[in-house]
Amino acid sequence: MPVRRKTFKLTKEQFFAEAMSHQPDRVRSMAKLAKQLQTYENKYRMRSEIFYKLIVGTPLEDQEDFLDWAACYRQYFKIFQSQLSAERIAADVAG
Amino acid sequence: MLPDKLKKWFITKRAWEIYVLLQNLSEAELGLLSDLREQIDLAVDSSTLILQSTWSLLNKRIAIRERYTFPKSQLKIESYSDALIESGDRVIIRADSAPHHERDYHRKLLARFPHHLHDENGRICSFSGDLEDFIKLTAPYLR
Repeated sequence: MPVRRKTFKLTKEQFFAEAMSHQPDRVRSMAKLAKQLQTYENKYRMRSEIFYKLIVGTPLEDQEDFLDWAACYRQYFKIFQSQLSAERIAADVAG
Repeated sequence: MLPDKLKKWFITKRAWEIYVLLQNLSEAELGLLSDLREQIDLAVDSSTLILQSTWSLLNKRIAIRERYTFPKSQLKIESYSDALIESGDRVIIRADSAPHHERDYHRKLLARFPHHLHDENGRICSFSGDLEDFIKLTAPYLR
């Protein structure tokens, strides 16, 4: 019988405290997402933007890789957008 | 628009529900939490939560992807896809809400369209849309 690694289980209070106090590292997250997108782009020889426009929302989307690719792209795109607007606000304030 | 702090609280609450379901199912691997925290932050920005729990000794993992909206200051699961995957990225079963199927493999209308399940033979079956039901279906594969 396989031996499973013991996992440290958190209480609800600990879980919320950990999650709510965690500070987002958007640069690191975007780099990780970009790497994942690159893997799919290489595998299917298609840019993520094109994939999202052509495949997402159609029956072709109905496979694991594409569902994952679409979710990663959604995350990447939204964070990119929020970073961009934050930079614009900062530039407006500075300017 | 919902403030980020409140959005994060809703997403954390949902992530906690998922965490409990996965922990009750089987002892998930170490490392799940650090990913959870990062994914919660990503979900605040993108309204898309992606969680993975792996059982490396069984060569299996569960991938949970949920997309949220926040109408009337509540978290609503707009769409989802949950999959049990084995090594080689072969999907064993998958439940999702993509509106691409109206009927099951018996040609009967799906009981709760658009929710459906791709069973281990790749057939379309009716599905409740509840993550808890999906997790129950994965249990026999993770023993």
